[in-house]
Amino acid sequence: MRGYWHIYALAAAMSFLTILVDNYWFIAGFLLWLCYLYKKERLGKGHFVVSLAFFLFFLNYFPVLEDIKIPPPSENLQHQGKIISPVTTTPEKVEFIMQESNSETKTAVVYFPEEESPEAPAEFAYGASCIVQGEMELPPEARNPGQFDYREYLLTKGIAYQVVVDSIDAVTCEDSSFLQRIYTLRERLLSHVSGTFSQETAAWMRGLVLGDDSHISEETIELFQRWSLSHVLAISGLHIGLAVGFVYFLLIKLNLFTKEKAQWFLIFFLPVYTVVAGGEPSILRAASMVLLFILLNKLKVKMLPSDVISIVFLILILADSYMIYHVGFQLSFAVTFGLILSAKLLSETKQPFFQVLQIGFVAQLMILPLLFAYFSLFQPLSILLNWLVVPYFSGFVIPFMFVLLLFSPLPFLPGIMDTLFVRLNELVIDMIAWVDVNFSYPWIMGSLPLIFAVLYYVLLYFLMKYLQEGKPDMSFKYGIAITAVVIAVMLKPYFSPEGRVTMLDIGQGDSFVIELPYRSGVMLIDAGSKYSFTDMQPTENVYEQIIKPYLYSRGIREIDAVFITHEDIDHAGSLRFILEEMHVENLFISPHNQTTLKQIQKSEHDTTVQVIDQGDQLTIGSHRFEVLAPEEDQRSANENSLVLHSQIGGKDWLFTGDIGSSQERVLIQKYPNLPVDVLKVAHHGSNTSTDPSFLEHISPEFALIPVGVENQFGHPAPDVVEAIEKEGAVILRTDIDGAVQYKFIGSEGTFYRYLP
Amino acid sequence: MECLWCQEAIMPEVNWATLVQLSPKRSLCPGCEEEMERIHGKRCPRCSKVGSDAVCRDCSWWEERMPKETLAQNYSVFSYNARMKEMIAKWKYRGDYHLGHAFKQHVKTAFADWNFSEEAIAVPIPLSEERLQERGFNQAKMLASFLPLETEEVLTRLHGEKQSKKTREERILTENPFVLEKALHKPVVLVDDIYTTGTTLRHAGALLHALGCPAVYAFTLIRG
Repeated sequence: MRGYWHIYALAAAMSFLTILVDNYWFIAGFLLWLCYLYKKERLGKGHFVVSLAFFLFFLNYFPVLEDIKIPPPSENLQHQGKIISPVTTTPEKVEFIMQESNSETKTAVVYFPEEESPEAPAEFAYGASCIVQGEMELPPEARNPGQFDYREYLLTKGIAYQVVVDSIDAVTCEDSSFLQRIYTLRERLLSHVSGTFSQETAAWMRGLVLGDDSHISEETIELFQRWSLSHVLAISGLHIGLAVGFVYFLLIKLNLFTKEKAQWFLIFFLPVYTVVAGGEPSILRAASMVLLFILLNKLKVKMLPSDVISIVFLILILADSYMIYHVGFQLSFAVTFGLILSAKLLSETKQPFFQVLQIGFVAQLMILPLLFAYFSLFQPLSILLNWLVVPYFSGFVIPFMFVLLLFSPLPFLPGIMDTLFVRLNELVIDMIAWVDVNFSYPWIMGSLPLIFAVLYYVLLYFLMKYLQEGKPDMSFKYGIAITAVVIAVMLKPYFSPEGRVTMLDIGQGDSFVIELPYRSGVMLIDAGSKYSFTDMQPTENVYEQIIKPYLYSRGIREIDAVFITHEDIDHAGSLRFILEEMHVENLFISPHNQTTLKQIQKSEHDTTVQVIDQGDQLTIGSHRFEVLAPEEDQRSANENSLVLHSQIGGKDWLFTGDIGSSQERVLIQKYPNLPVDVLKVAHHGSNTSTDPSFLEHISPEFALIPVGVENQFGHPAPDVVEAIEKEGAVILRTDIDGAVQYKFIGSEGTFYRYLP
Repeated sequence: MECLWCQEAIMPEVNWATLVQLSPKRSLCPGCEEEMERIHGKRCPRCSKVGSDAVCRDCSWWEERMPKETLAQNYSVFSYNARMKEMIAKWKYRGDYHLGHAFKQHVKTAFADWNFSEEAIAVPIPLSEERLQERGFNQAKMLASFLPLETEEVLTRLHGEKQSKKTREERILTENPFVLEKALHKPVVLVDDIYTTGTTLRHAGALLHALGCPAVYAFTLIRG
């Protein structure tokens, strides 16, 4: 078996891919490969059979998300079960996972506190039996293309339902199991860290030593994610290696233990530390690998690193069949396996700095398709930034944090070290932020199409193989090919005759994205948001969670035109964030919209603002828009809405903002022969608009209503819906259909609902 | 898998180059592999004697005494060094049949390197009945089985003194110990473990040639 474990692990990984993309070519490919190896006598009969057995076993082993049978939610308001996860407490929420006594799926129990930084009672413990009062509900699902699907995310952990409790008192627990003692140790350490050090140092120590990054600012987390630095924050091989080295060194140097005993100590220390540090897959992987290495060394059994990582991989997926869906798990194993394959190549590089660069290069190449699939973004210069930043963390910050934690009972010294770290770290984070501003040339796109992803990895294999075999010329050719593949996918929209109009589901608010064929123009009509009552400002959430992910998944970062029909937050609230982060060529607003004008003058951007009103004709990327209203100030934000008409994909579209019946009347008087196939129903279907006479006059085929689920206004008004139905138009509404997309080629197109 | 010579475990290599194809099965560990000396570079075009690419003195001596057709060429895989001596002893005289597999891959690649393009029949140099009884297998036949040629055992050997106990002069002048059981009208590659003076092979070659074989070559594991 030795030397062949990676084939069994690959067999399991192939089974997972087959299930994940539901494509049976993977089976054929894998079987052909096995047969080839057998025929070439590279694989004996025994290995052949075992590999095949692993493959077939895992094909039936991994849970298929679509096939998970979700029982109907229990009607009861009282749920009984056991806590089967650590209880996580972050500034925003308290959360744990519960296994109900009579259910196969698990339930997430969440509490969002009124004030920040809640504390969970000590009875909330691993293994505790609890009674939870609250309504069981399906977690929120993605309602837009590109949006993070929380429901599916929880399902990848085997969690089908959530109960959001109103107060901590709605949960009563008793008992706990042994593991809780370690979790309690973790909690104690966490609060010790927070109580001893400055907020900034505590946040990093919690993250880097104890695997809790919830106190590091959201900005920094996202900055690190954009620049592929998140691995520094996730406790992984780097940290485990340093921690083990540190502990071992101390034990030996202080003459506390013999080498023999110190190794035994580590064998017990590693599992405890894994749990104390949060037990995420990256740390599980790293700690298990180190543990296995030490054990094998003790038993005097020689094994290849590829065997060790493969055995750990197989053990972890057998321990938890859902774990393979974990993004961190996938990234961690892909990178480590890539580096193990490259060990021979890397060992030829004697220059340590160059070696670090190579490691970063291999790591990024291994996971590039995963980065696009999960984050839609890759910063090519992140390899260089990693080269600068990783040594700072591995050589200084992480060891420093362990030492500082150890020194924390001493007087004076920790305080000085604390201040020193805060100063230095601020500089480094500022440097990264500076790079982020000045050297951002991101590649933005959604998942690579399957065939391109497969091609990518085939090319990567040849690239690395030739590099290792000392044929840099050949390797370089494959390097060019691999770049070409990625760029080809990025440029695909520029060669695609398909155009799209997307009504995003942002809740109670408007946001339309128009993408012309061959990417000759990208336009937004409105970019609404929600109002935050805590800081009396539009929230970033709609932009961050819906608009940006959609645009990124389509590879869009430059917008030719944004129309803001009027200043209300449900139409204009996300504008500020778009202008700050994306390049917007032109912004069109009505002359009566002074609010938006003033607002955007405050923020930094390079957008040309153009004021338009009735009678204007605009051409954007050779596409024409006609402005039908407003003609004069109506002294009401809604009535002053821009009304736009355009022919897109063979249909005449009318975008009406929030105009009321009086403006509708003006419209049909002024344009008695206006052709309209698709009507954006004004004001979310309020009964102050969409008068039956207006409907009768324009007689649309389709009526699009952007409206929030169970909104407080009761939109759309039943009589409006009835009037539209009477007119014979098809109603597409975001509260029922999620996002609605019209995809067209030439003058033919079809509407698609995002939700089934 | 363990090394056929030193019994240490052999670890396959896992890296980018061996990811898809896997490393070829090795019968020797890298250390023992290194001990064997493959013949590379200049060698006598007639008998594979290492050093120069001119016809060597031994071969000139033969050419004066025997027609070229009795043995047109001998191609050998390894030089005869201390390790090879030990390996041969263990394989041949102490009956470690399995150790022969350590040569398999080398025999295959060397034969490919030879660029031998004729459609020929491999004929292993036989052991006498008695000797075969003693050793349990014929090492030449094992080597022949590694070659991509059809094998025919058309020679038999009369029992006599062991070759290795004779002097050079004695060997050359001994009588032909072989009997040919079937005439072959195709080119023949004689297969044996070692080429020392070339006498044995020439005895067999002369017999084959006399009974109508158009060309006789030899492929040997070692050039002594």
